[in-house]
This record gives sequence, C-alpha cells and structure tokens, in this order.
Amino acid sequence: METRIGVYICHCGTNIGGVLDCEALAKFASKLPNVVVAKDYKYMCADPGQEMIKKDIKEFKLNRVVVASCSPRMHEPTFRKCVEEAGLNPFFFEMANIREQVSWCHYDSPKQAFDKAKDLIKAAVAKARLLTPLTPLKVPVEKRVLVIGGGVAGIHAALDLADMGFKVYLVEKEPTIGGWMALLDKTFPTLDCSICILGPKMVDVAKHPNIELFTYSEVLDIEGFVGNFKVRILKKPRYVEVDKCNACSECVNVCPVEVPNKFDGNLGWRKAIYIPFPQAVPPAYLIDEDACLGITPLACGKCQEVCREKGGDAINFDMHPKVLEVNVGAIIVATGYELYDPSKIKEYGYGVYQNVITCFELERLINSSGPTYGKVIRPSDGKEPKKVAFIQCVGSRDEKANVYCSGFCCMYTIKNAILLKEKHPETEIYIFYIDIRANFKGYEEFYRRAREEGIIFIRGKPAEISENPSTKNLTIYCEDLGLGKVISLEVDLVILSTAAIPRHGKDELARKLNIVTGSDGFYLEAHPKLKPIDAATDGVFLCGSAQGPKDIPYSVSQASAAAARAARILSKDYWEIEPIVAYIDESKCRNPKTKCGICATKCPYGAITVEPKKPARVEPAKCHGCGTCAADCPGDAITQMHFTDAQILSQIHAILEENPEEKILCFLCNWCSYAGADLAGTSRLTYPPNARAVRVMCSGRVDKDFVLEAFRLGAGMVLVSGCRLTEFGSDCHYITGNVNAKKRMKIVEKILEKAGISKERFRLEWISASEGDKYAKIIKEMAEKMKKLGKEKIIEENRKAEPFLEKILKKKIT
Amino acid sequence: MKEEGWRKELEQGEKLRKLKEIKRKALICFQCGVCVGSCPVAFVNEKYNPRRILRNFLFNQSPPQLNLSNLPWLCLHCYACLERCPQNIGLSEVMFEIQHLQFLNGEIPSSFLNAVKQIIKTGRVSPVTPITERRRGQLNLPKIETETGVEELKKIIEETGLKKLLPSQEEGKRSG
Repeated sequence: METRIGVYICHCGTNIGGVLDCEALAKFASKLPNVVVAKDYKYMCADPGQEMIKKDIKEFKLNRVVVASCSPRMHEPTFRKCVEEAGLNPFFFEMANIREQVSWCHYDSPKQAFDKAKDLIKAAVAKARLLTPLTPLKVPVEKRVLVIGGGVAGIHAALDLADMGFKVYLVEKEPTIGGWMALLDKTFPTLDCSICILGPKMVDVAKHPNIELFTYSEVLDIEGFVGNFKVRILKKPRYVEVDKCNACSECVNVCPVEVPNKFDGNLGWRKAIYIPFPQAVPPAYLIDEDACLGITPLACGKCQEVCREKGGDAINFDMHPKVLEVNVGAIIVATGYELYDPSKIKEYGYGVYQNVITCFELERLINSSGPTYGKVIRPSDGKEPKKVAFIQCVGSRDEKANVYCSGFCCMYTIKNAILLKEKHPETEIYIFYIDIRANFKGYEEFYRRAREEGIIFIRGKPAEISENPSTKNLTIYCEDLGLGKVISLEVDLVILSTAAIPRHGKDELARKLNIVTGSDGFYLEAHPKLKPIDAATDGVFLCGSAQGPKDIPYSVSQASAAAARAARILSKDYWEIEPIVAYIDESKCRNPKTKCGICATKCPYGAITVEPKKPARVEPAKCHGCGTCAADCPGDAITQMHFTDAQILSQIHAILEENPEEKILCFLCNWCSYAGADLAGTSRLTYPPNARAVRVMCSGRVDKDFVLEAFRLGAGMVLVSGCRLTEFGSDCHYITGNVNAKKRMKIVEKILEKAGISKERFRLEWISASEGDKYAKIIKEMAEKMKKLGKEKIIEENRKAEPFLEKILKKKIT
Repeated sequence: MKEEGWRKELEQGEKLRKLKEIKRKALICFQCGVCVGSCPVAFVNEKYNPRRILRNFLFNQSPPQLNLSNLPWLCLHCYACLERCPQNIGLSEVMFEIQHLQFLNGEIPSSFLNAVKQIIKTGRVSPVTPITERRRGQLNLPKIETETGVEELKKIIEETGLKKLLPSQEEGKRSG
C-alpha cells in the first residue's frame, strides 16, 4: 500500500509561530517524499486542529500523520487518540518537537532555528514512513493474589484485598503470623499494647473466608507474568493437626526436651513441642523437628500419648512436607526485616559482656508474656538495673556495616526508655545517639516527653565499653558533644539498638520473583517517587520493611497502598501491555548455533529466556520496552517495536543529510535527558541551535552502530545521554539501562579512537529531567569544542574514518 | 545562732529547688545551639557558652559547692536566647538562677561584689570620679548631687536581707 503522510505544523499561538515561519515549514514539509498534505494551524491540539487531521485522513486517504508542535511528552497521547478515532492505528503517528526544543530555546537565532525545525520535521517524516501498526497486548487476569509474609504489613494487605472480594493466599515462614509486632510490648508514640491491637487483626486473617493461610510455609518457585503467576508453596510439617489441637498445653508438660526460644530472643526456654507465643495464629502447637526425640525413629512420643489420653489425638508423626500450587494475578512481598548481629562490633562486647543486650532482648524482657513476665533484669545476676544506657545506630549509619539509617530505632529506644522509667522512676537512663530521628506524627512530642521524664540524652557514639569483671558493671567511654568533653559512665545494663537488615534469603526470593534489591539489600521499588510500591516486575508489589526499614504506621500505609495497586490489576478481566516491546527474529538469533544468551543477561526484568539450542524468547508481558537487548544483540536479531533500528537510522540519516559536520546529534532517553532538554526550552534557556535530538526510551537502546553511523555520515559531534548514574546508584527508569549504555559506549570510544575521531567529538552524559541548565551547558560546551576543532579538521577526520567505519557497519548499511 | 540554722535550712531548700529546675531545663535542652548563636556575649567572648553551662548541670553538679567560674555572670539578660529557643528554655533565666545559687554559695565575682558594695555605700553602681564630673561639665550637664536617697536605699537593702548574704571582705575575694 502506498504510504500517504499528512504533516501538520502547529503555531501554538505565538509560542512557535512567533519564532518560526510555520507556513514556510508546511511548504517545506509538503515537498518531502510520501507527504500528501502539509498544513499549518494556530492550535493543533485544540478541537478544530484535531478535526482537521481526522477530516484529512479521510479526504486524502492518509495512513501516517506527523504533527510538528510541542514535546511528545506533552501531546503524543492526545494525537494518538485523535488518529485512532479517525480509524488509523495509533502507532501510525509521529511527532516533531519544534516548541520545547526549537522556538523556546533558539528564539535568539530564528534563522538557525528554522533550519533545526526543518531537520526535525524531516526526521519525523522519515520515521513515519517506516512505522508499523501495533496493538496493545492483552493478557487475562487471575483474580487471586499471593501475599508473602504475615507480619503487620502482610496482614493488612491480605485483609484489605480479602475485603475487596479477592481470594488471598497468605504465606508465612514461621508457625504463626504476627511478625515482629506480635512480640513487642508497647508501640510508640502512643504506648498502645502491641498484641492488643494486632491480635484481633491476626484472628481476622484466620477467620476471613477469602483468605487461605499457609503458615510454616515457603514459596518454592514462581512462574509467569502479570495477571498469570503460577506459584508453588512448600508447607512444612507441624506434626500437630491444627484443627484438632486445642492448645491445652498438656503436651508441653510432658515433653523432655528444652531449647532456647528464638521468639524470646533466646533469653528463655521452650520445649520441642511449643507454641511461639500465647496469641499465635493459628492457635496450635507444633513440633520442632530438629529438637524432638521422637519423629524418626519414634523414640519418645510422650506428647502423643498425653494428647490421646486427653482425647485430642492432634499429634501426627506421619506428616510430610506438602507442595501446593496456586495461580494468582498479583503478588505482594511483605517479607520484612531482620536484626543486625551486634557481636560484629567488638568494642561493644555483645556476646562477651553478659549485661550488654539488644533492643529486641529488652523488648522481650519488658513484655509481660516474655521470659521474665515483664521484669527487666540483668542477665549476669538477675537483679533489676538501676542505671541503664541505650546505644543508638549499632550497625546503622556505618560504612562498615549498613550505610543507611534504620529509621525506627530512635523511637523504639525512646519508647523502651519511657516504659522503663515509668515502671521504675528511680532508674537512671542514658541514651547515646548521633541524631534523634523523630520525624512522624507525634514522634517529636514523644521525644520531648522522654526528656521531661528525666531520660538523659547524650549526643555522641560510644567509642567502647569495658566490663568490671567482679560487678559485671559496664563503663561506657564517649564524647558528649554537647559538653565537648570525653565522659566515662558506669552503668548496670547496656542495650544496643541494632540495625534492621534485609531478610536472610531475600536474594533467593528476588530471583524467584524477578525483582531486584538496592545497594542497601532491601527490595527496590520501580521508581523512588512515582512507583514506590511497585517492584520492577509488573504485578509484583512491595510493602513494609521488605522495601526498607519502616515503623508500624508506615508499614500499614504501604500495605494498603500495595493492596490498592494489586487491586488495580485484579479488578480487570484483561491487563493491557504497551506494545513497544522487544521482538526476536528467530532466524537471526545466534543462540541455536553458537550459545549466545547475551540478551537475557542484559534484560533487567528477566523477560528473556534462553534455552540451549533454541532461539531466545521474549515474554512480552514481562518486557518494559527499554530496548537494551536490541542494542546489545550481536546478531541484530532483536527489534524494539516503534524504536526499530531502521526507524532510528532513518532519523539519523534525515538529520545528517545536509551539512552534517556542523551538527551535534543527541541520543536522549525519554524519561530523563529528553525531558531535561525540554526543560531547557520551558525555562527559555538558549543554547547553540545546531543540536538535534533523537528520542529513545532508554539510553540502553542506543546501539553502537547508531553512533558509528552518525560519524560515518559525517556528524560533527555526538552526545548520548541517559538518566543520572553516579557511584551512589542509578536513576534509570529501566533499572540498569544506563549502566549497560555506559559499558557499550566505552567500546564505542575505543572504536572511534581507532577510526581517528577526536575524543571530544563523542560525549556520554547523565542528565536528569530537572537538569535543563545542564543540557544547555553541555550543548554550549560541545558547540565551542566543535568550533575550536574547526570544520576542516572535522571533515578531514570524517573522510579518513569513513572506510574504517564502513567496514564495521557493513551489515547494517547494505 | 538559731536564726542562722533556720536560714541555712531555707537556703538549702531553695538551692535544691533551683538546682532541680535547672536540671529539668538541662534535660529538655536538645543542644541545638541557637542560644549561643544569638548571644551577644558569646559573640565577643568565646569562653562564654551558655548552652554548655546548662549542659554541665546534667552531670556531677550537687550542692553545696558548684565550683562554677564567673562565666554565668557575663549574661546580659537580653533574652535573645529565650526569644529564639525552640524548646522555650530561656537561658537568661537559667543564668539568673545560677547566679543566685552562686551568690548563696558565696561564689561571687569580685567585680560584682564591688558593685553591690558600691550601691550599698553610695546608691550607685559605679563611683562618681573627677573624670565623670569634668565630662559632664563639658556636656553642660548639672553636677551630681552626692548621697541622694542613700539612706532610704540602705533601709530597703536591710529589709531584703542582702547584707546578711554578703560574705566578708576576705571571703568575697576567694572566688573573685
């Protein structure tokens, strides 16, 4: 079918029309190949403008539409909808940005601005010629959800979704739900009893008709994609039938084995048959396989005997691990945190000095259902302490341990200090801190309350603790920064506020879920600002401390947010996926012959599977459309839809058709650098008008060949720019696209060096959407360098490099 | 002797009450330093740090001897610190309390003591010198009449019991 393109130049009032001669631009466009009609109009985005396009599509039988106006980041969706309403595929539309990137930033040089606008329109028309129709992918949605982790966050996410009417599978590793919160005494800043507020919620979970609870269970593996996950769950044997056990505790009385109770921070003892704590849900005992004498071979069996005597018969030694399979549409990860082992910090003597304990151990001591029934004692002699010190940031804010702030330790220390002070007002309490972080509702007031109650806060991180071997008292050495003096303080008991760290086994679960962890080890959200709940994989959501240390109100808020995000998918029958995904040409894929698999290693979403001797396969529902695989495929077998090699090369050719040696060709990522360039325009920053931008979704899409081809065609300068990438991390919207771009561009630099292209003619930068000034500055610098090199030198270099580059690019240009 | 004992007890009680109040403020203070930043005295004299003076009360301070320096007496009572304190502590008032405590303990800087004695003797903070008179003459100001109202002032001071609190000449010098 003949390609028939309509081009529309927008005046945008005087925004564009005041700088550019739009009529002349339309006249120029009308002469471009395949252009059937070209018009200019005051406001293309307004109804009459859109009507004009729709009318022309019918009248001139147009099958492609190009609008030259504002940034595609502004009105691309508007015009896509417009052409779709006229019966065209929405992907048969292309835009040229002559406002943000021409009239708003080059108003000081209208003549060159006009030339730039011409180039951008020509490039858009060139790409339009090669556009293909695309339809959004639709996948059916399983209206069930998996929640991993039954702490306060998992419980709330499960209850919210169950109340909305979705079937919830809640998987908990421990024999009871409740998590850390169930083990706390009170909560800050209100001093509510922790189990009194959580207990009813735990019971709600057990009773809810829409929740199926799997305690003492783990997620074995996960397959599939958004809307269609297949999950296998391993249910470990409890050796006690939950339905038959009435928690009478007769079995405990006869059990001969005692082991430290980890639910009490190993301060107390439990039997081999046990219940984690009185309010456990399900309210049933279980047998610790490793401690029990009787499971294999049946050697003891006292518990079973007494249970049968009492008419229970709940104990069953023949239980085996069970694997269950469930299908879900979305997954919520609420796996929480663990506590840092402070024995690694030798100077505080944890594990050596008996009277140095952790915050969690204190929490259990202060708790009335703990090992001492709420009495705080010194481990060395069982006496009540009279002088107590808390040490903050043990393992937090420490480059040698965890660099981050664990967030909630300040408040729980203040809470425990207040509890201690209120129980025993004569106790002297000291809190050693670096900064007190009391940054949510009621927290600062709580901090002041602690000071009013006589708790002494000392700013300074203790250097070391020494023990008096006879009294087992401890001396803390520390600078009091308020005094500007070194002090030594003898106390009876030291409590270390240990850091919150990611769960053991978080990497294994990350692999199963295809999600990633950040540099802190916690699960990473898809975007720190706008997608704080979503994981990188569609259909997977994060809440609570799995994503980073959090207190209870924050965890519960996130849980409800995760439930809402999941419901957004579960409430639909079909889930639509943007079709700009990667597509593999099986005939070109090298894997069957040479065992390649590079694409799978580059994909940040695990969307590509590579099996031996078979071509690589893309799961479109998992693909986010960054195009990194397409750029790194050595056989050019991968195409990113709507950003194909041919389409991008056509833009490069169009831009560099005339006087290429005077131009700066810029490859900018959609989310940051292109938006940064737009911002330079919006801020009316002027910069040299010889820059021309080609928009790609991610800097990871920029193929080596694009840069080499630009120089082969004689480009003056080339810039590749993506989202910010620093030693502290990456802002990439596709997690690691810019990291891959960086690796690839290092190779490009070497090739260019060999080709004899001056080093300064190629530049790799990271420009964020807020750095319009940086973009303008970089273009200015590049233009100056280009001027310094001189046109003759550039032409000469290009002439010499051409045969070399041609040889490399052979397969592409033929 | 009887009166002395009664007075001592009262003094002890007052000292304890004052100390408790100062310590309460020291507990609440979170050491932000806006007071020192606002203090005109600290600006010119880096030894004077009212925040640190207060902080010191958290540790090792118990009557009868405070063994503080003369520093608390440098406070100008401009109240800039109270005006800006985010916790409403008000170091100016704390300095008053500390000065009072020190006074009760006889830890009085000699310059202050001299001023008090001068007031009792002449009704003035500083003596009228020939230089003052000459300067007043140059400015066409009238001569200062000496000893106006001094007797009345003495009576007031007598009533307040200030004289009894004053140490003898030798004692005063000790902490000066």
